[in-house]
Amino acid sequence: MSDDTIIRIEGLWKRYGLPLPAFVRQGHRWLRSLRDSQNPKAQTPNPKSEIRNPKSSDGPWALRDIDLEVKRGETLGIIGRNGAGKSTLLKVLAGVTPPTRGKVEVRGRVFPMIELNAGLHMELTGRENVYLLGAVMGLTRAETEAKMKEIEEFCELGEWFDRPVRKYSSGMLARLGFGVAMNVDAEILLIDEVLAVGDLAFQRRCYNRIENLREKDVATIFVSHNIRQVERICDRVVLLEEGQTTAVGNGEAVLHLYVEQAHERILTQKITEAGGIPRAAGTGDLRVAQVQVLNVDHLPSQELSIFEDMTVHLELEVVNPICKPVIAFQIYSVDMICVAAINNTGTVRPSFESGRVVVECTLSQLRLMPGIYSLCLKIRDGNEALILTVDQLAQFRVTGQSFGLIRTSGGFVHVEANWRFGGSQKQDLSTKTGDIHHA
Amino acid sequence: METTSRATYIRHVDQKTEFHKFFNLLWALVTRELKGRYRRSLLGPAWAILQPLFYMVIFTFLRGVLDISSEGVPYVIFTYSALVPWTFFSNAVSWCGPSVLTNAGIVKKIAIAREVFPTASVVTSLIDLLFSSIILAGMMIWFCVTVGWSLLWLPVLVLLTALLALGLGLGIAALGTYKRDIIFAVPFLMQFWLLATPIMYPLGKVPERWQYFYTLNPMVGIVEGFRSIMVKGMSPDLGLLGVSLVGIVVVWLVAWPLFRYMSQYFADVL
Repeated sequence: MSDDTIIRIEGLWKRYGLPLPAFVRQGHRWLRSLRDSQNPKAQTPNPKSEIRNPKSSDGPWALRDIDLEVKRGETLGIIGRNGAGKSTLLKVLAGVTPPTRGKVEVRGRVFPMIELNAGLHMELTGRENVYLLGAVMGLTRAETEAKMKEIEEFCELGEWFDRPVRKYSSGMLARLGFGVAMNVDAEILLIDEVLAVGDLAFQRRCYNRIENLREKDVATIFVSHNIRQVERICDRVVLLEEGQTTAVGNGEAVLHLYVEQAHERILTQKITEAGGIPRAAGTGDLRVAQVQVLNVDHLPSQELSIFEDMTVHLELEVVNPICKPVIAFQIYSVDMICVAAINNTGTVRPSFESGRVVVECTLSQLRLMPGIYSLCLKIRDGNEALILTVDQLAQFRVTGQSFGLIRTSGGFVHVEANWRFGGSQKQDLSTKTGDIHHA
Repeated sequence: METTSRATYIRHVDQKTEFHKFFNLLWALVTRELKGRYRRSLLGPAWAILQPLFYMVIFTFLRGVLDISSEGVPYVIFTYSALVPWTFFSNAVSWCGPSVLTNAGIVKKIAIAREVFPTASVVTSLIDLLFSSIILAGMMIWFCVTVGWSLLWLPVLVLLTALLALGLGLGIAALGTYKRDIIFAVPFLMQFWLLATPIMYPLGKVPERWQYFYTLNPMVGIVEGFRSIMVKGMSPDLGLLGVSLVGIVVVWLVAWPLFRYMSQYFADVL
């Protein structure tokens, strides 16, 4: 273990639950069969669970073969889907739950910023609870007392500070926990998504405190779903999938992989009801019979390339004739930002007769940045009354190999840019750099 | 901290600060309980006195029906002097059971010795013992009980009661955290145990042939000891107390290792 390594994990496996000796397990199974035999409902064995778990008391692995090292002053981000094992990893590091296999070595005082309100008594006031939270976080009463003023100010609870916490809102409770946590000294900080609570100004201050701690050579492990936060704070990022580390590396590369995977899932998510027709709401005067996104070659595809034409092919089943309807498409990003809106006012606007109507809308030379988008459809009649809304008409991905950008780099629209730098065209830039700024 | 042969979790910590943290948290938990428990009750800490008083009234009534001897001392003080340590013991054990469950948040957050939760329960009921002792002291003055140097035995007896309660509490908390049945069974067992201890009747009334098994109950020596000191002004029977001590040691030898092992995995099941 080199000197600046503060956490070292070697071949860590973790499975939840108490490992019982064989005879206890046997007895337990016998007791359960006894109970089940009295309850005829439970008597029929569940074949599915038995296939999945031949040894009934062995749960699934929460962490599988993790190797990791964290150095002093480093900020490590952990990302992954729900249930990937992020929190389990933090718990093992905090020493709250023992590893099943492998070796974990932690050098230094750990402060887990998880369960910040652990130990609160609802009947006690905020001030009284601060002593308790302080004790849980390892502060002595005298230390808490010395920092009470600071904590009180940080919480910004005002007169609520001396009221029973059962009257607090969830945000106020979070402030209390955070206020105490911010005054704890540690060499290793484990943060688990706690910053999601609290208003923006409060979050801002929490980040500042974390930044301060990092400057003091504190190693931080940061678990979050907010990729923007992770990208901003972390020196290194680990991607966990089903208990395994599938990628470790600098923020950008790992986050890119994670975002890609998330996009993949969004694309495969079912947006249609049975029969392949998207969920719709409306008056019933017409309904969507078929939707297709067509690429530049007019073939159905979910993948489109930037700068190529994209066509939305829509087949509508018209029940009652509609006079000059307005058809509007909106393009939404993954985080539900409306990126573009298109409609047919001011262009062709025919009336619909009963029967099947085919609508095709081509967006030429698509200028959307690579990423996943969804289409929303709204149809209004001539009097501007809404007759059909389909929130998730279709989803598509825009690719742009030559750009290699991830969504987090910001922006949705490709803007043509021409760069020009000052100074005379004939000037040698390498020798005259100093002049460029003044020119 | 070796956990199993295949897995290790090593944390370089200072034993002294860990010890310090333990007592720091213990104290905070006890004050939380004391401040919080009665905050929204009308009678407040009087509840600590009401419980043994209530039993005393019932027993006094039962005595009228069943004709129980009290070895020549006023029955009220005879039974109350035993009820005070009993209530302490019974409450301590009952509160130990769910102590880990109610502190699940702390268990899942920090790696402190989990013994802190049952210990806090025992210390909290120790404070209640102080309250109910006030009434006992009043009774002793009222009935003009003469006490002597044997009163010095009192802290020893309280300590033994606390140790027995904590030993049992550790076992109950360890098992009860996994299977709630253990916790559900405690009040029932305590009722049974109350009747199997010389509280409403004197030890001498227990039939000769059962005496041997009867005194295996570690609470017999303790309760009799309390009564000797508080009512008769005599030192406790050392033989009976020895049996209690052996009982306490046996309980600890079983319960503590069990708790040590099982407490590692508390966070997994909470």
